Amino acid sequence: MIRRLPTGLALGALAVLGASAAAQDAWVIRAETIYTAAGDPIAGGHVRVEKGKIASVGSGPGSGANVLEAAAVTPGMIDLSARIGTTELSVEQSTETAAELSVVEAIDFFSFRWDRELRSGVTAVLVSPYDNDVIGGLAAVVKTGGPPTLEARLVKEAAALRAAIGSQPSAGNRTPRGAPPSSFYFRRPTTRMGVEWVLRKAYWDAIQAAERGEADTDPHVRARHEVLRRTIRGELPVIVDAWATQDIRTAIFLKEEFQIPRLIVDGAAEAWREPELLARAGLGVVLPPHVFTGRTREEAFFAWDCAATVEELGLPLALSAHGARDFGARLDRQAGFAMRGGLPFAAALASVTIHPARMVGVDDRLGSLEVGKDADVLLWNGTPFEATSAVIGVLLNGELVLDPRAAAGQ
Amino acid sequence: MIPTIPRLGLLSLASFLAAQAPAGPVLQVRAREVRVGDGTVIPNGVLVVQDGRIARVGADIPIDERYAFLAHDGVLTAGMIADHSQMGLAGEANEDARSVVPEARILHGFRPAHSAVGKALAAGITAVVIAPTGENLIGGVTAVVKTSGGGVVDGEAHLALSFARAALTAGGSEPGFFFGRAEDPAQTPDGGPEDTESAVSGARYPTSYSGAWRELAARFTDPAGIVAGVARGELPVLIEAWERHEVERATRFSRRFSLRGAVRGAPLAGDEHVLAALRASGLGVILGPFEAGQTHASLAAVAALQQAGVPVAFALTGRENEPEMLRVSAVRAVEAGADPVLVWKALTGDAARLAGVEARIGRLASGLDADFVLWSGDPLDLRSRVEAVYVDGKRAYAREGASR
Repeated sequence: MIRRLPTGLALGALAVLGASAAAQDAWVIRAETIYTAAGDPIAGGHVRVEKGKIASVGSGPGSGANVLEAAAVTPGMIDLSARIGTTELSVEQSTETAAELSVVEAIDFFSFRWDRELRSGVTAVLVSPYDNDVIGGLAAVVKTGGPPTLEARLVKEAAALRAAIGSQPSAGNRTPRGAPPSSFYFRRPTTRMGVEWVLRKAYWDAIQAAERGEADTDPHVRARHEVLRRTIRGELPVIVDAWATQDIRTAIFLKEEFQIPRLIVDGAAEAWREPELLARAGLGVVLPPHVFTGRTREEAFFAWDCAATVEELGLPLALSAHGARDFGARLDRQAGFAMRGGLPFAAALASVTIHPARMVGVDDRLGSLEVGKDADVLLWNGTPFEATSAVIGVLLNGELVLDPRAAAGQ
Repeated sequence: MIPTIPRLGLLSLASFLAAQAPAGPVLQVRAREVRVGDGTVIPNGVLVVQDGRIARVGADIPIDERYAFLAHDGVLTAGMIADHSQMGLAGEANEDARSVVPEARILHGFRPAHSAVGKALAAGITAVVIAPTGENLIGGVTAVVKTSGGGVVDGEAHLALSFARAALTAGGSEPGFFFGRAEDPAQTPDGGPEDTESAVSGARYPTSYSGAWRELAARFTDPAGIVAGVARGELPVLIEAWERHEVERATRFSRRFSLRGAVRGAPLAGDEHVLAALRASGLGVILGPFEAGQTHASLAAVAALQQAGVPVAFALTGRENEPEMLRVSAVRAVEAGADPVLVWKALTGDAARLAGVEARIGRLASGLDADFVLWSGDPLDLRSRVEAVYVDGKRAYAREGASR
């Protein structure tokens, strides 16, 4: 890696590595099983990678000079709620509805946590602002590796609109009762009812503004309204933090009242409680990390068959590890836990690859091993998601960032 | 510069007094070593001062016996420049009520007679850049002042911006308990940046990096007042940024709006990616002061930046406000591998350049202000002492017990 070199040499080294990376721009990965997340697994197949993209996938050994071998190969995993690279300074709290603000200018690509995600097999994440606002702003899909610049990492800037229901967005707000208000935190909402009111008012205002015409509106407010209207038109999904039953219900009522085609609930620990309502609404679901006690935030109980239940309803399902520090709680393990709760393997694979990619509209580039897509590829030493299996190799944009030959001691 | 505002530098007392002085050589100094500031060392060199300015520097300058002459058995250098300081401001280095105060002039808060200024002089520092803290998104206009005589080298040196966390958390942006008067609650509940600007106390807009970017981008996209001068490239910026991602953002912003100037902070500027971003931006970096527990990475940043051709200067801000820390910081950078000649430039000529006053101070060259220091030995040897300091050709400090 470049970073071990003395800094003075770094610029020269970059040029040298650039040249050698070009030489290593093509790989053939052979595996006992190729799980493409786009159709049936291929036994005894290969994936060929060229210039950062997938050049071919198929049975047989394939041809090429740089060969890597593994027991299994899958697409890179995608986490829609990784919760890394941002701090509380990612959310603009001078307003409760910052829909027009993009999180991209608030991401810390220098955080060591990116590398941990990458090495555990998560190659792309959705970065959202913190949930201290009812509407926090535009979330972005970024790669977890590469140079620590926005330019190098960004996959999609406005991938979803982030919102939050529950106690979190109102937690910092206060009523002026007993003391004169001394800051903008003296405001609605201070309760769940207030949160719901602010959310509905934001949508109501956006719709009214369109009917009225917005020539005189402040440009920030106009931009805010337009973002909300894009979600109504289905051009942009809304990802709402909602864990407990009452908050998932609120999300569903909002979706139905304003006819928001693409609404994803994040958290959603109690998605299993009212499956009919969930199915009626056609929500996307991002589940939190499994906990052995089942207790999560907002007193929501996260049942181990929750993922299986959502899958049976035919809803788009994604799993998340919330940027787990613990090796045994990262995204591959979450897929394994969901399988323990009854989720079939193919669905578990889809829930960490192609489903999250589709939910935020990056499936043209990410989420499956198909010709022309980004060469974000994982190499496993066994069947993925088994307790005895691990990611031993990672290619990101066709570049080998975790070498499986090192793991094998070659 | 902003054309409608008179250059405060021209009004300085020192220049006024210098103009009244009689013409002719007033002082000739011969030193065992004269260090010009570009690496040139003149053994038994002579400096001739006339009208408060340097008239000549060289080896074979005959001494004119009609005028004052001083022989110094030690090293003569230009005075050092601290490129970021809040000395003499009595804690009033940022306007709290609002985060964006481009028209604020730090010079109006500067007290030349403050004891800290005298201490800086005694440490061999002849000029400092006084700047707002990073707690304001746009903190106002910096100034370059002399440490003796009340002289103002430049009353509008940079516009101070901040990409630092401090700009977003000042005034208690995070929910908690607030003291202070109420702002108008009717304006606050759910407005955009316009109404939150009215905040008198308590939390302040913006509270996020994204909000900060939007606000600054808006100010530079449609610039007015002093920001317009900055956008036209007439005035440099001094951008406070500490964490690596903040520095990267600052360089990106600077490139987008074609700004020039320097980043203040950036302790990890030696990081390969931060370094590349800084190089591409053309910004300089103002580092330090280095505290006792400073990590090697930040000490080594000086060498890394200088090798990459990024201009460096040193700051005298923070908890360690002891003026000696300026020289100590430089010495520690040398210990960590930096080139002593380049480090000395960072204390003098490069510091002047980053402050936009290289035509006035920072080197021993004819025509520049006669701000110089007589050292007992090599100034980058901490055993060496300041024997005397001259500002605008006048002796401003002499060590007690020194030969002169």
